[in-house]
Amino acid sequence: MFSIPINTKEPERLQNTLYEQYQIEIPVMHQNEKNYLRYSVQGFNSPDDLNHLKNALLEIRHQSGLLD
Amino acid sequence: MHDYQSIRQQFLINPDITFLNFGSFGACPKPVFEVYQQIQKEMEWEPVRFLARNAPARLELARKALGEFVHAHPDDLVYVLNPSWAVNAVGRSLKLEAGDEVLTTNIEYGACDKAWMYFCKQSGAHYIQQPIHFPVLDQQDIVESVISGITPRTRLIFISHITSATGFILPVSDICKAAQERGIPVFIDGAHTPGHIPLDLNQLNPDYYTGACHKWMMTPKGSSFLYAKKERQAQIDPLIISWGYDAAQPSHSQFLDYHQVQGTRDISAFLSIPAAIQFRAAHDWEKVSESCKQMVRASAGSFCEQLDTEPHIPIKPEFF
Ligand SMILES: Cc1ncc(COP(=O)(O)O)c(C=O)c1O
Repeated sequence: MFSIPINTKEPERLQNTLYEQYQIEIPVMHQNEKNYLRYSVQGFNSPDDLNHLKNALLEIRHQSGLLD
Repeated sequence: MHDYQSIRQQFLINPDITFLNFGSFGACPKPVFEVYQQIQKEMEWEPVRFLARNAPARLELARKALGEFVHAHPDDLVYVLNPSWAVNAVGRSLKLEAGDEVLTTNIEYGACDKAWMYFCKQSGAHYIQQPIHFPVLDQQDIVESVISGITPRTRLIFISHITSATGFILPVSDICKAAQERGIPVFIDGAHTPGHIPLDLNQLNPDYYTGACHKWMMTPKGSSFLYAKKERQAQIDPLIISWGYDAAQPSHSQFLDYHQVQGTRDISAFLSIPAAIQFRAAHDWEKVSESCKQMVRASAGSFCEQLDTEPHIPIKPEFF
């Protein structure tokens, strides 16, 4: 489990976009004015799952204002 | 690398979803879930035998299995629904007084913060949230941040074993030692610990510990535990007062009577814990788990790079 520090002004929309557009169940956590994207890896997760997340984040960052 | 394809077959989880949120709620492997449902059928088959007669012995077996897994005496463990339950039972029992302090960090789980703030507000005590500065340089930094918050009014230190939002391991062993040298009891919130990283309660020796089994131990939902050191047990009142309180026929342990008898409820999730432990052993889950952690450690830095952020912790095994 690791929490990636992220810069976003819309944590909730980011989480919804990851689920609705990319079918990724992942929480955006908020604590002390900071946001984190926390991913957990369990036995059924493959390296492809993390690549899928990586590509989704790349796309979101380039195509929307959800990630600075 | 573990065989994620065949492992996936063992879970009920929706194959159309990339599920990267085991930290919030775990998933129960099919064979464990079947045991769970079988136990529920047994309960429906003979409800009175099951709940009134056989429950104590079956709970004892389940506590023994858990005790071996977390290295604690089975009588020092009681099953509770979730970690919040355990926090509430202990918090309510501390009988805080005006001016007392509960010492913690500013990176705890929000629901637990709420519970402590409630108990402090009720009594005029203070909830002291020591700031943890990011990026964390090393574990010793954190020990010092916490321990430097101790005052003559500190009644308890409450601290996560693995944090929720920030997702990393805290140096609870060193904090326990330093606190106990100063006579301060420690309550560790290990919601994320059992099945995720090795847990040896005998060695760690906290005053109170709660862990969720339904996260990384992969048991059915609603199975967690409260551990208390022998000398602390008498102080903890049951959260729900029932027949176990001032019991007509007390067992050998007031701790068990108080917390195990909580009115009519479904204990099947607790009773499924031995099956979950067997599943882990049968599938060499220590190796699977280590391989998962390697995937995390290997990718953490590159995710940060990709998003132009700095990791808030060192990418080192002692933090994962
Ligand atoms: C650190 C921590 N403590 C406590 C809990 C409590 O969980 P619950 O709401 O099930 O009691 C969680 C759940 O995610 C957690 O992450």
